Amino acid sequence: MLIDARSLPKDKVIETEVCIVGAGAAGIALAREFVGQEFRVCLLESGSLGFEEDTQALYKGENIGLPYFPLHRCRLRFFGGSTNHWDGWCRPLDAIDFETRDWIPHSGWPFSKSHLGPFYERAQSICQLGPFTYDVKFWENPKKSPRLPFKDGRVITKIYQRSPPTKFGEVYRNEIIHADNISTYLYTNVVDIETNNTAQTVTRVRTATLEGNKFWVLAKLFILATGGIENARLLLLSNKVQSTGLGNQNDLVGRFFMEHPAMFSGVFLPSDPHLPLGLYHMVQGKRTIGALTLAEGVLRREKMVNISATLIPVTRLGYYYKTSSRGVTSFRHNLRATRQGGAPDDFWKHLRNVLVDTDDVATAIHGKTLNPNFLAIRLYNHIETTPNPKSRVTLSDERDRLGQNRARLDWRLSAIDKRSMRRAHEIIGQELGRAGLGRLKVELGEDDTTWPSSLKGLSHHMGTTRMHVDPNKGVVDENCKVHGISNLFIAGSSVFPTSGPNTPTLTIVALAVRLADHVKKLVS
Amino acid sequence: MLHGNITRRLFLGALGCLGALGLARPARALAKFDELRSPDPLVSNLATIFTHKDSAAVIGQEYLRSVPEEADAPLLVDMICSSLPKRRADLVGADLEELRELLRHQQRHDFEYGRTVKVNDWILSETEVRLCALAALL
Repeated sequence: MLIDARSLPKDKVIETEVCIVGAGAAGIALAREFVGQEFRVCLLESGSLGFEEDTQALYKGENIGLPYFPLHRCRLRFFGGSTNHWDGWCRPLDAIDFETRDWIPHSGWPFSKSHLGPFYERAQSICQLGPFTYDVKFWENPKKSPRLPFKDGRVITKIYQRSPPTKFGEVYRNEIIHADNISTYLYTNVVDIETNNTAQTVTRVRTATLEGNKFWVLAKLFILATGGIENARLLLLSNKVQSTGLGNQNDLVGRFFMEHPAMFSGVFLPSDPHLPLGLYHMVQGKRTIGALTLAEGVLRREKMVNISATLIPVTRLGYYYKTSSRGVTSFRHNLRATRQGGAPDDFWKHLRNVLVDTDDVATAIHGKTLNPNFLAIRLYNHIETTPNPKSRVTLSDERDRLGQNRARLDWRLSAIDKRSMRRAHEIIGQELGRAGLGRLKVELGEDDTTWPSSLKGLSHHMGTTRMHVDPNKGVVDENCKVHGISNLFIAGSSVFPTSGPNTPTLTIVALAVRLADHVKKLVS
Repeated sequence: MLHGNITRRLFLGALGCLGALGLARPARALAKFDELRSPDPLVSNLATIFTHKDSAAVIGQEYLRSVPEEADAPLLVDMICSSLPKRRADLVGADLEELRELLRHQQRHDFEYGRTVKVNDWILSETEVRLCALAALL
């Protein structure tokens, strides 16, 4: 059943067994799992079935940390949530991402990757991905598109699979709205989570529409699934009984905000311009892509965070310069200014000449079949970041149209993140040279605190209600239940204690499926 | 790394100081090389191993700006040869292809053992930058 909340009578009270707040990837994955169950489910969505600017504006917020997208432009507030604009790249987190690593403060999940394996398999199907294997052997074509032949496995290839991309709000809409036990309310903004006077049990949520309608939802069990920023905001806003915010008795809600910093980080110049890189090329319609990463042993030995680098061919020197960092631009100006003094002209072109001289195949074909348009490959990097309590979501003094404090984001990164990225490039550069594949330029500067101007996030908001068995170290327990509250659960990437370098959606859906199993047992 | 990294800051700094100093150094080294040209055919073999010698020289100049103490052809030849598996005397008689193969192998060996140098932020093997430096001195 699909209900427009604007048409509900004033102060209506809705009773249900399970109330899901938010109809994005996590909320819809949860609701689907509840279809046909013996209990009633109420799915509350702030938006409608399509984009509406008024509702989207509720996502506006402040940004006081690293440069970041406007907060109402990096997520979507309507049925289907941010799956309405995602790229679809998926991969489970790597095994090491779940581990407690002594060189990464606050790292470690309460369970291993193998525990999540069966849920990943179910999530794979929900995200409409291919066979549930991320083994490179399965996906590479050894003759046409082999993986790069690195020696000794220090640098390895990992596979991402691409969802169509599944727009959850479109693909699963009918299944949910035709389910007898599920009522979906559109235009429904939760503005307060009310509890008993000890804040140990949620009694109801108060909702409002932009038009002024207000109503309440009473449930046995509540699940927040509003995204990595909004889950924290909603807990912080619900401060009538617990003055610092619900579940925030240890000042953890909103802290440890993580995002995948992504940037152009290097240039790979192949010694053979015909090096087959089909496995790594991101082209329209392709369902898999290879990326470079480091072996677990290297990450442990070097005490690094996990990384992932995709390869993007550069076909024109002009493109390279235009899209490169300010450092490269100033370098170019310096070159012009000092040309009379003997400064190098197109250093990398000269390097390419030298490289092809020293390569067997390229030497043989040089001057005959060398493709002048294929010059280099840029590395586009995204890394895991160290959980940092100072990187956080808090409440802004500004208020939205419903009178609610907006979110304030202070995104921060740590020195270990930058050091890891630079070191990873040194290792990749060494291994490219060692395998005779070419040379790498590292475009990351020399210090651990500044970031290239090409730094961006990937709109992956994680960590703000982190999972930990110890209430002093996490907002939710291993079952995603908020510590200290008997019937409030959280779904989505806000529960990730560490982010890994891989895209989060498959893990979000796997955790939602896992939570659904848990809730079914509890409610029945 | 034997000589550490040549940072962008150093590189840009070096560019800013180019003028007379930047040009004078290779000129002095060239004079030194001329003095030594005839006695050792290995020097010219190594220096001419690149088809694109001018390109190699550009890389070599960059390297030498940051490591000026190596702007000395005999020293560079000694350093290159010391890491090769053949004795220097045997290298003199080696043909160009054999020499190329030995050097190619040595470059990969450098990468394997982390004997790399950053020149203009490119990660290069010590052997190859010294060969380029030698080309710059010719």
